[in-house]
Amino acid sequence: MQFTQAHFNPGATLGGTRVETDRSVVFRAGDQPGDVYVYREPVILALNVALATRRPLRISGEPGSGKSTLARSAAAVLGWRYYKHMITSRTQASELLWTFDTLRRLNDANGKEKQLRPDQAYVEPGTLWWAFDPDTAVNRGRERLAFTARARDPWQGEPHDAAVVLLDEIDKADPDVPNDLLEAFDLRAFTVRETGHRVEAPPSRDVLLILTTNGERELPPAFMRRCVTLALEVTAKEEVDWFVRIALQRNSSVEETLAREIATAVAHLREAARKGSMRLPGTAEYLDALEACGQLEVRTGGTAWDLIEQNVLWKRAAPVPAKVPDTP
Amino acid sequence: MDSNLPRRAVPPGRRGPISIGDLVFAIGALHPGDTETSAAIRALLHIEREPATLALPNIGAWKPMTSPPGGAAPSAPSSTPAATDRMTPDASAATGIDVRLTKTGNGPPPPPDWAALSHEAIQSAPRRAAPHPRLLFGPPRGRAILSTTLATIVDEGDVDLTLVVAQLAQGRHLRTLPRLPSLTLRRGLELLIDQGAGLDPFRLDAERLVESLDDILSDDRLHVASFAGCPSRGVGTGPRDEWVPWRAARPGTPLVVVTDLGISGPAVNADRADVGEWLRFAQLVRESGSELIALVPFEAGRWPPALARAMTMIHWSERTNVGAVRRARHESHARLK
Repeated sequence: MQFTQAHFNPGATLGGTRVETDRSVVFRAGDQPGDVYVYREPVILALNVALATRRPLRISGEPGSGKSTLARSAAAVLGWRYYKHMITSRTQASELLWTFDTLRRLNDANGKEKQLRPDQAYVEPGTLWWAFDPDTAVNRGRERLAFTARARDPWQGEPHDAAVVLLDEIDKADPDVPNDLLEAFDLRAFTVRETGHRVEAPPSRDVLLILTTNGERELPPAFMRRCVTLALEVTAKEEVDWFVRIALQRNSSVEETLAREIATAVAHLREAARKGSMRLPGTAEYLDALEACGQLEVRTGGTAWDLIEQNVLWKRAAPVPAKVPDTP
Repeated sequence: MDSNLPRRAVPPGRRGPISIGDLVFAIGALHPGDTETSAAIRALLHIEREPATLALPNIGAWKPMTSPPGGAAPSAPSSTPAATDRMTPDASAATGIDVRLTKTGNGPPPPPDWAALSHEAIQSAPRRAAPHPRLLFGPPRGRAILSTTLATIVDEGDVDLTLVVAQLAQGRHLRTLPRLPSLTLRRGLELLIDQGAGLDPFRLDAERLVESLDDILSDDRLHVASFAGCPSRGVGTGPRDEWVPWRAARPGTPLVVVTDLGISGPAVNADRADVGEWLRFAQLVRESGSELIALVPFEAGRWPPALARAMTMIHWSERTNVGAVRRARHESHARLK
């Protein structure tokens, strides 16, 4: 691939990077195992396209393929603020914008001291508000609040005008949630219903929205049409090398021979899973199996490996003999 | 990174779906240097390839040849008879794509290697397993679809604070604590699978459906039985002569029937139930306090309209998604309430 890495160039970041022979870039954001991300060219291209067009980036891929790690790492490469919101089946679109503590307000109104405060004091800014306009978020949309009443920015790192927002596992949400967020995504603005305050991201402010999905549910077509779409896929041919590289990047003390042996076994299981339309063991399962084999000194092929294969890779409880047979 | 490089401006107002303008900004900013990168950018933005780059299929012994830059027609291979074996299909004029087909040999293509083998050799040759068909409600979305299909709505979610505050603010006492609706699978499921001939093409799907449900529900929450035609004639897990007419075992437990509703199969078939029989069965289930959900492997256009109104019907298809199941359940819930 040939393109100008105009907006996102992890290879040009000072320190913590290494360019591999296949032109992928290894970026280390911190000292934890999860702080390492291997940027392949299609991923770098997708981030550049999302930044150039200022569109949300939707990343799909099987569990453990590094979707969430990518968002955190991209924020570190860019040096931008980073916010993450884990989506669940109960998540409502409004939570990402703001919440209003009605119960507290009622309590204040009926308490003995009758200390009803301005409505803004009961507003809690959501992830998108912090990303769009942190200056008004800290004061909950009021001109100025007493210091004790100010909201706390979830981002406690270096300040920056721009922000990366990760909405993790958006497909877990009720199907209406993505549709309800369309307006906020499109306009980069919304109005707090209880106070009438208008939150708007200044036109010059960059906000990179990254949405991840495991592909368990389809997202609404109107939502899909607004996103740059990246599928984090590893071809069957690349699987072994890919697993080994991730293992070594996360823990350099891992024995490479063992990492490759387990990766080969996992690749065979993934092939069987594809043929049988079953869930594929992913990166997370591979790393767990490698950790287990490393610590317990297990190699592939034996009875212990069979148990690891069943319990860690397939996630199926393997039958265990109720009684150990007597030795003759 | 240089913030002065070309970047899509954020205009006031709604931006709408991704358009060719986004592609222009991406190309202008990233300067793709090869066709692979240009194609990757278009794919990221879901912008279709230009028609001129579409590849034509290779049809039989005719090999498509495209013009070199400059528009000159390709020269024919020396072994190929010249003008008579070269042709320009009518499609070229219609599509504007300059394509010439050149015959690569004389006569019909050679027979495949296996045609020369003896019958015994073919029989003894190792056989490749048939490819697995794409399962209805298979992974990765199958679990979410099934969970949505089976879940029953109960008022056991979080406290409905909006309602509580509204009542208290008006000085009204709370007689009950209002709760938000939530979905639960604890009521389990009764699954009845049609053994009629109309469902024969879907036997493997039905087997895998039971396996998937087994993963979702505990053993005591899943009861699977068979029927033929309509469950009112008899259901059971053993030989057919031991089946008994369906009775509600646990009121409130959703009843899922996997059936073609008599839409397909042989025209003359004693196992084929008519619409009236299914309507009476739907009434029986409703009176027992359960919800009747039919998984039908045929599109809605083929469903008997009277049945579609009497039960929750879901298209059992690899194209069905969670949103469609939710809509079907909400609509039937409102209709049958």
